[in-house]
Amino acid sequence: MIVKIKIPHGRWVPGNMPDVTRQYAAELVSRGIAEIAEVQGRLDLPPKKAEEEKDQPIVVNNYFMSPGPDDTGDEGESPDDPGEKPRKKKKD
Amino acid sequence: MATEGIINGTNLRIYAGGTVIGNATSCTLTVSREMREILTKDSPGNGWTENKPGRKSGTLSTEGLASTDTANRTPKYLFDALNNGTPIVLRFTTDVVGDTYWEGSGYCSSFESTAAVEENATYPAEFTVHGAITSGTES
Repeated sequence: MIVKIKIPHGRWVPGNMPDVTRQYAAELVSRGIAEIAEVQGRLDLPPKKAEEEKDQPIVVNNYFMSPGPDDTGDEGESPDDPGEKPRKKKKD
Repeated sequence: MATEGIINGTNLRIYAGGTVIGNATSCTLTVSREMREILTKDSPGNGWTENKPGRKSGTLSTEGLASTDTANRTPKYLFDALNNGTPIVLRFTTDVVGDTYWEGSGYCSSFESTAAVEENATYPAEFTVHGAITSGTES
């Protein structure tokens, strides 16, 4: 519980707002040293409202789903890849 | 009214001598019980160890950002507690009526102060509980 110090006490000076146990706060208040602070900063803030979930557009990448006419069957090779050019035979 | 649902760790704090440890970023209560292993040639089974509960102990540790002008407990308080060997009443609680608290008396057994360039100065500290740790409900 946060209390507001009214008169010097130990190293506390008026205006200090220490966080003490409720038992200690009651003792400090009864002795006139402190008063219960209006702002109790440790109290939880109200929970934030959950954000609405929206459907995410799904883009299906199916570029490589079907083999093309030049597909050699090698995995990982792009259909646009011309592949290895046939070597010219050396003339003897 | 007791805290509903999962307790927010931010609200569980260590109170040293009735005042919370200032600018804490984490705190931990560790309660452990050692086991007495019992294994004799008369033990039943094929070498299975039996255990009986033995000694109990507890520590409270905390880490916080160092500040000298907080109205709560400062690093200096922790150092003085360690240096003077002063017993401190330690309470690990949310301080909310209806919630569970743990309390014991202990000594500051470890204190550090770390300061890295362009980072927050921090002060990890540990308390070793002297005697029993009791648990109850805040009322």
